[in-house]
Amino acid sequence: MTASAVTGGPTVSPAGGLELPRSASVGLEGVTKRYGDATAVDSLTLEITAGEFLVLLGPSGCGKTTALRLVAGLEEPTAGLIRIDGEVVNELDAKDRDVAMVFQSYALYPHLNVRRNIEFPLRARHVAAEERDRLVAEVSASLRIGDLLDRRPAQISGGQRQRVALARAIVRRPRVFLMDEPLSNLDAQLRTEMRAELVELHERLGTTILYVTHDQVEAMTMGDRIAILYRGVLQQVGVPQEVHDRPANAFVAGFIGSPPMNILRGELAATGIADGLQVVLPGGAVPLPEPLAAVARRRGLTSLIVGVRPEHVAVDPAGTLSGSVTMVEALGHENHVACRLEGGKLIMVRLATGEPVPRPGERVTLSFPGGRLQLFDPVTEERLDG
Amino acid sequence: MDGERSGDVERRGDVERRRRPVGPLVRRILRYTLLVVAAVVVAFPIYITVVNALLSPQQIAARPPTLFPVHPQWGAFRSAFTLGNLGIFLRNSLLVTVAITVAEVATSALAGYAFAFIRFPFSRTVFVLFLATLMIPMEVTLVPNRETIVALGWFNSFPALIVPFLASGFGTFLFRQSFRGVPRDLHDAARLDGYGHWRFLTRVVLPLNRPAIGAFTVFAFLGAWNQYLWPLIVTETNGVRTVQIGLRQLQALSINQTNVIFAGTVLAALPIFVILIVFQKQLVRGLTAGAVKG
Repeated sequence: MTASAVTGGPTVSPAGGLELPRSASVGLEGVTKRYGDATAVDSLTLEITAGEFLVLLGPSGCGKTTALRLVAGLEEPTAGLIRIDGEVVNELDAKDRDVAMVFQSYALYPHLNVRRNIEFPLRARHVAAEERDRLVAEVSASLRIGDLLDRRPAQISGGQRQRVALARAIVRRPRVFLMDEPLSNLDAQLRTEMRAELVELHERLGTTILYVTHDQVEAMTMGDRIAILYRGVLQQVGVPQEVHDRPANAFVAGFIGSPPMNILRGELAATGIADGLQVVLPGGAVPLPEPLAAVARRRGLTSLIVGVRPEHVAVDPAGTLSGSVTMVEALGHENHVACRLEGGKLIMVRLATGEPVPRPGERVTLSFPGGRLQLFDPVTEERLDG
Repeated sequence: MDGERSGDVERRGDVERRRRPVGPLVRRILRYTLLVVAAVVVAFPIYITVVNALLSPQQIAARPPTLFPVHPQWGAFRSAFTLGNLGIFLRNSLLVTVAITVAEVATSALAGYAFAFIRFPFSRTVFVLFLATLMIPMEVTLVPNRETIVALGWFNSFPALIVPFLASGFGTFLFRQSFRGVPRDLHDAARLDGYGHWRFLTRVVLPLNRPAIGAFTVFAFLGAWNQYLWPLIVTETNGVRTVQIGLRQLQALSINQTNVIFAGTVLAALPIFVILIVFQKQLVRGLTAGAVKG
């Protein structure tokens, strides 16, 4: 056991200030977790550098929380290695990994007041009372909960509980923060506020954060990088813009973005002009711009999956794709229009304010101006690149 | 801490006040009348026992009965001690009962914790075995248990009175059910905060389950204090016998002094009252705990 190397670290710094950064890299190498026949996490390999804010994103049941619990030491992997700061921690107990977790439920101890909740990990480590008081005062001031220290969790609001949970995690200066959907129990406005605060906190502390969410807005706005999981398998990992612009497969494409990318299956056909290609979609055919057509030709495809972001679809009288409007969502700064194509497939169109908005029930034709399409293999659903 | 607890209570009071139905007056009068009648039915025998302990045997025998002792006579209590050796019996009972109660609560809490929080092979089977012990009536085990006690050389000793009751299937079951109400996240959080099983049990699980523990403490105390048959068959001298047997002896000794019997009864029941008063709040909450726990 190499516990001493990990626990021996300065859990509480003598200086104690929030300004002292502590962070460690986290590595997962072929990590698999099975429960009976079900595979929650399937040979996950992921490197999180020290100080990074990495978001694990995916729909519910995709294994992201399990992955987090594996890193925390709350679950044991069926196979694979987990490293913290380069050291394999598979055999290390949760309490010796020097990681702190913030739970979706906050997991505050209901019988203890806020002060005792925040102190709880310090008491476990036998931190002297004076030092404890100082650390609690410091953390609670920085999270603006200093006036709540004598209250019980039941007597404070959800947002305040969230801060207490954060304070409890921060106060012991862990090397890694694990956050399991920490904002999902908050109302929308508070969530937006807390997003900004968490990002700021990360900048201030510099501690590695592994953050689990199903909310792609959270992922896009907070993460240095995003790792997308689906059915226990890592789909893509990259910086938000890259994941957004160059999704690795149709799943990622359909998951990222608000509203997400339209995913349409179509047949390839010749346009009759030179060796041009067009995609025959449920509501009509659209020409395939040349670099993409070249890709399709090179692969010898007869069908493919087309991805197009709602902002890259236009309501266009000269459009070749026809359908009828089923719903219009007016968001103020933009409008989302849902059109049902003739084959029954829904396609979302995002219109900036000022652009004319069709009415529900109206028949419209659509086009993809600029041909900003993404192509995916019809079988593997992997991205097709030039 | 106490200040915070009273804060809780205040808030609960608010809720109750808001929820109180403002039904028609007649229904309320009817309800309270019924409650008063029920309270009298329950409390009257206790009251009359106390009154009779303060009367002379002649006053007790008189008809109509005296309902209030105008000139209370405390001598019967002294007689209960001198005549019936109640002091020794009470001491024995207290010793045995406290030992059993403490042990039962402790072992049940530990076993309940293991069943609720620790994954181990055959835990379900073992738990069912624990439950099965609840189905066996005491009469069935009486004779074999006595044989065991005799074989161990414990006949007529305190271990004979205490050891068979150090663990409780019911307590284990009660605590396991109650402990399972503690969210898994709290267990995980405590593990990450650096708390092992023992400290999680003592710092989180037990404080959160005070109602169940209070209820079971009262239950265990009552059970141990009121034991009669078992102490009777494993003891033979007054040095180790308990108060229920002592009361029986007192009855035989003071046939003409009914007031002494009543005084003895009051003395024997006193610890139960004390424990009920001490644990009253926990007991009521314990009985309703399952209903409100999320």
